[in-house]
Amino acid sequence: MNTENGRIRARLKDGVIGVRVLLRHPMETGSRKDPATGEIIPRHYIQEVVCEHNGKSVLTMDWGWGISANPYIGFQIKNGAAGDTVTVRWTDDQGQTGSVEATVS
Amino acid sequence: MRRRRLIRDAIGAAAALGLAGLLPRSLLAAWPDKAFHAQDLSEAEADLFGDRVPEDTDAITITAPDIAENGRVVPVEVSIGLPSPQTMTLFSDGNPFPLLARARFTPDVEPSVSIRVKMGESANLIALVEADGKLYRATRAVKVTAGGCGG
Repeated sequence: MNTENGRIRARLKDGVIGVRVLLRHPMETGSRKDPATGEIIPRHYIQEVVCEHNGKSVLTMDWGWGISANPYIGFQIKNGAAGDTVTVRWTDDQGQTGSVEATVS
Repeated sequence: MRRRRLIRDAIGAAAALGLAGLLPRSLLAAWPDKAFHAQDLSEAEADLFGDRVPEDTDAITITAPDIAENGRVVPVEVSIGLPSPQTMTLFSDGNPFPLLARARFTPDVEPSVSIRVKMGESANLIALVEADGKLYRATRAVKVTAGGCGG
């Protein structure tokens, strides 16, 4: 799945779902200067990530601004089946949210 | 933002009333503000783990490049070979704010996660894992040739 919030792939192998996610987010540290204006770019980063398997939370993360821009997440879900749904939701420090979802193939 | 604060206040009130056990764990685990703002590794560790002393182990594998040419994007995989790990907390001891991320595992996922982090300079990646009521630590040195925290 490719959306404005990022990309997600969920592939089944031997009953385990391998999930690879690329979220679209600047993950600003608050110490970087805009090269054009010299102004400090305010801190702006994803704080909370929830990974769901068929709607059930299976892995959650708290992040700081030390995570790279356009964050990558790789993880594996046990007891998967083709047709299952994998969803990754995030909330950033400004209260903005986003999600990406894939059907397991 | 206001909505999230209201939710947190509501959760706090519920916890105070002794209802904590009835709420899902994920709702109670608030983002650790103080630890993420700590500018010192020991301060961040103390905030999250109190005076618990981690035990070094080779049952935690941190996979990362020996030399990172771009400190803005350092791929890191932490794989845990310990029984039922609950949390994994990742730090870089060379960053202005050492705490990078904290993961909470359930038995429904493999105890392994890959992410990409920023490293301001050559430093150690440190993973602290809570498993079986104990705290474990693994360390991995990464040499950074172009830093990832400045302009």
